[in-house]
Amino acid sequence: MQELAILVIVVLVALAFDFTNGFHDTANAMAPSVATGALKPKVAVALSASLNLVGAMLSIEVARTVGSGIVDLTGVDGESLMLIVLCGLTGAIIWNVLTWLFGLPSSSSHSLFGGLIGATVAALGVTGVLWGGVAQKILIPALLAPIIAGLVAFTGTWLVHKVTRRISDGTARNGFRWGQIGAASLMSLAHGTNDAQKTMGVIFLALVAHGSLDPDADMPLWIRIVCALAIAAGTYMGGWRVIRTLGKGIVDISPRQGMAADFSSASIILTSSHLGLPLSTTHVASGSVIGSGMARTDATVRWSVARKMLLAWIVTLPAAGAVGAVCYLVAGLFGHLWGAIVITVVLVIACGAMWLRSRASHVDHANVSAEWDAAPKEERKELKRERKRAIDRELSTVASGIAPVTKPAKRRRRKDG
Amino acid sequence: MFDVAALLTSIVSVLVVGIVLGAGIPTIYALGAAQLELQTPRGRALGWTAMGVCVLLAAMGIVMIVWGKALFGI
Repeated sequence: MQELAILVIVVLVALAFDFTNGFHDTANAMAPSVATGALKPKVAVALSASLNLVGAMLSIEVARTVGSGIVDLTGVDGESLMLIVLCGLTGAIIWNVLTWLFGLPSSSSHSLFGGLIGATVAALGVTGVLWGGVAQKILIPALLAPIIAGLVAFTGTWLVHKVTRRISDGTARNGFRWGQIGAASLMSLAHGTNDAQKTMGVIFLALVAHGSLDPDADMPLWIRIVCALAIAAGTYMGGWRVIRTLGKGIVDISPRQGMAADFSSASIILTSSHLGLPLSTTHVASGSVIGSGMARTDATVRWSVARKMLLAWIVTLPAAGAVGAVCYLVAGLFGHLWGAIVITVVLVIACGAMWLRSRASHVDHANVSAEWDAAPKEERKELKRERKRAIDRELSTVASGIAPVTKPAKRRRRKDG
Repeated sequence: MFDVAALLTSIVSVLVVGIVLGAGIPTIYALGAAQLELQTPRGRALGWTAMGVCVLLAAMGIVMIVWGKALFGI
């Protein structure tokens, strides 16, 4: 009975992770189309959600990879294994929601693997992790995915601009609309074939731990359906903050560029799904956007935003791992069932707090495509200079002893006569 | 555990398919858009053919990647 209760909690939290995965990664497929106005924001997320649903049902190669080769869980009893999975998922969800709050397109896959690795290290020590598998399936692809995507998108964008350098502005704007919608649709399908599989793999692992499934069994249909529905629902919610960063923050995307970036991402992700390589769709999509931005001479990549994103990528694995490990240690204080309940409550509270915090700077379909820099560059520089001059004046006044350091009292108007 | 050959094969496959389809399809689409803008019968025919090739390539890509093993053993 206790094992079944933990299993139910794990499956629900896994579906919550799948939801945040869709929510966080809507940007990967739809940010360029939303940014260029090829699709209206609400239409974009609805289209992406439908295609994610279809994509999730098409392939299970990645699901097989996720369930094996990263952590060595042989000899672990069922309840402990399910608790490890739960804590890993908790670390992944908390990191996903936190990066969404800051609008950073970080990898949901890496947060999942990080959380699982962290919880495994806390439970079994470093020997519980198959480091060779981690390097082969996570670290090396993480390094190479954005580079390959950037290279492909750079080539595509450069060729497209070369071919269309003499076309009119109207064709450049409108002629590529359908190409961009097609590319974004393909990318959404690709996302479904890759990312929904990761949660399927995790639920499969939990069911094996519970003893409900044989490790060599086929993926049950109900797992495929619920995972497909969860990622589609998350996608439909639209992670507007991340869409804004990827569509407007890194570079101002043109329709030609958006199409090249989306085709680059889609081809890479579909191929990796076929090969069972769990690539981060976020790394691929971001690499494509940067690569296509670099191929244009009339657009500049905002490297300050790209640097923040890169930092989030580096931190994702250890941060999610640390949360996963802490969760396992906390859960250990309460026993298996109560530990699972406490961790789930902590997860709900943490996500609720971050959601409330997000209301302070609301981003939704209405303002997702607003200009990244509200004021022009020169105007912003002038405002900055003016602020600096005001501070200098204040400092020199204080230094010369004319005015006290504290805020001066309001001068009374003298009444003459 | 660390299978360098398998990893290299995967990376090269991803790169080749990426360059051929990921950069190829947008280029063919762009060629089609440029031809369509000419507004001549020949331009229109070439333009729509290029668009058709793009759709065909994308569909073939999906079929190969999703059902490639079952249908063609790759």
